[in-house]
Amino acid sequence: MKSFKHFKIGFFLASRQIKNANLWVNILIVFIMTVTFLNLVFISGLLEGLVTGASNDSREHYSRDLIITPDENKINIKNTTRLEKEIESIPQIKNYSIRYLQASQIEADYSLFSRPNIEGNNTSGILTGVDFEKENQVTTLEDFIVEGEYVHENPQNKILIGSGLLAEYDSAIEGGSLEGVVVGDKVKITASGTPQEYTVSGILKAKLNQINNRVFIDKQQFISLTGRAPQLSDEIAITLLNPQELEETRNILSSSVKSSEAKIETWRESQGQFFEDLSTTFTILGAVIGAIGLAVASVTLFIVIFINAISRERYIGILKGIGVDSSIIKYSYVFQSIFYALIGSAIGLFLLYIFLVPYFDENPIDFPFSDGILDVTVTGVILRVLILFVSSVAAGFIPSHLIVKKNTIDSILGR
Amino acid sequence: MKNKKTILIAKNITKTYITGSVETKVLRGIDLEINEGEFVAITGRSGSGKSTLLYVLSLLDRPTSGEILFESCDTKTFSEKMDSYCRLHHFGFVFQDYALLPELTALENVTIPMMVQKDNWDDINDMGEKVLEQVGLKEKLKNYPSQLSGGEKQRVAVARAVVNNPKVLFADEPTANLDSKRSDEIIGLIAGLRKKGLTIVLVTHEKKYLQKTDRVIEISDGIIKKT
Repeated sequence: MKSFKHFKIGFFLASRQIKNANLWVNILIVFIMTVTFLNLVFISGLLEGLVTGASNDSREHYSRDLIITPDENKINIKNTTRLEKEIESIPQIKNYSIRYLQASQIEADYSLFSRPNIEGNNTSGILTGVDFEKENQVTTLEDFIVEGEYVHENPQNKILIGSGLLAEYDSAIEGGSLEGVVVGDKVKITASGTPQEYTVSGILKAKLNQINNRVFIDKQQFISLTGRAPQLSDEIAITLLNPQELEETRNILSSSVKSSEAKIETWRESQGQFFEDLSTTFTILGAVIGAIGLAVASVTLFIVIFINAISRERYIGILKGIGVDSSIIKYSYVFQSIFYALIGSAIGLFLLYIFLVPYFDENPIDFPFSDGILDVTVTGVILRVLILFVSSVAAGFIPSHLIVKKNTIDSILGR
Repeated sequence: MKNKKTILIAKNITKTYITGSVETKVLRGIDLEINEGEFVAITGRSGSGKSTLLYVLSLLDRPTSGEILFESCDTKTFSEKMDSYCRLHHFGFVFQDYALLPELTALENVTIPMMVQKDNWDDINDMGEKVLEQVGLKEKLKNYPSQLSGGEKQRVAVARAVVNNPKVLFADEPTANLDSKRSDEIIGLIAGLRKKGLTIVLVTHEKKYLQKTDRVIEISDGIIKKT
């Protein structure tokens, strides 16, 4: 009862002090708190967003919700036709794309009948046989065409080539990429020892190696070139109608997948430990940077409250002099800090969700391996508001505690 | 004097301030008794130690040595919380420069001690208004200290000091910043409180107000010269 009364009086004093404080001082403190909050959320959100962006890309444009790949120590997925029928019979599955992969040599400026020349204008890439329409439905591959056009019809002798195989787009691999190849050029692809001439219909550029380092070709053309049996595929990417039904769908498919000497993984499993490690690292990095920001902000708030308390030392002394309990005075400063922290957080939340998140969703930062979005979760935001809240309580309590401890009459007389 | 019960006793009070290596003895052994309902003036020249004695008697400061007994209780044993409790419930204090809280209105300045003292706040505004009305500030309840004259501020300070019905009112040169007319009003106001049985300890160096008191204690160089 007594504590509650002290809270109430502390709140009353805090409200009067804030109300009658200099407007610009109030604005400055709220601004500091807003910037601190954004710093806490923004830096870590951006770092986590880098990984999330890469992970999202991999899910949206490569693995989709579930991906079937050959089992450990197996080369291909067997019984693809039977597996395909099974996939088609499952109502939870929205669409799928079967891929055939083969290492290949791609050569420009060639003689059709000569063997690939390692000194010439050539490179190696993964020849990927797909049904262009299905692949586009599943991974929106067409979105990554930067030159030329997607293969919608008459796929004979047409390829889409990843930008990672072209020197013009990927200068990092010196001497390892095709030089001067543009849309409409013919290139020679050698797979399983057989060469064949194809025309570059389009160039694909993404933030995924599974697109950049591949040459996409019609499935029938692939089979024709490599002599691969249609039953032996390499990847089946599956999109679900409801992405929440990952496990259920996997369970339905598991026996067929097993009999095809393959394994079925969720999008997250297929990304492997690397993404998780990267995510953890960036989370730690974000937390460290955020903690530094928080420390700076806490010290700033501490200084602001301390200066406020020092400048009001006489009034603190007067309050003590007329018998106001020290705890009430401390509460009043803590409430002031909390007020500034909450207002700062509220403005920060407004800026975050109304401006920053939509902005970065629309205009991701162009990082080499992903499109950096601002990855903020509700839990993360609440956590950061709480962190700011706790540090504000400390920043309000410590200075007022130090002042309140001083001799009453010395405070009143300013000694 | 009808009531001779002693309310405050000071025994061999000393107060020494140490600034660096400089030691200043302000009070050098004060012995003093103040009776309930008595109006006592403490006077002396500037720097004589009269204000310091008042701070020590009112538990705003601790003596370096000696004992202060309030209603026979040795205040040396009081914790800081107990000092605070005493100041809230038993003592009222009027400072030379009013010591009002600038962000609170006249009424809020007066009601703050009541808010701390009382659990039920229903009637504290009415009580605050009543006290302010008694000191002639009925029209200035909502005014902030910056909107009041010196005399009005001191009236608010007096109202705040007595609102909790203290046993002892301490006033430290309450007229120092006021003109003659306002000073007379304030001293009249304080002297009038005596009728309610309040014990008053007034520090002043103005001789004309000494005759209004029951007893004058003159301090010089930290000791009582005359009482």
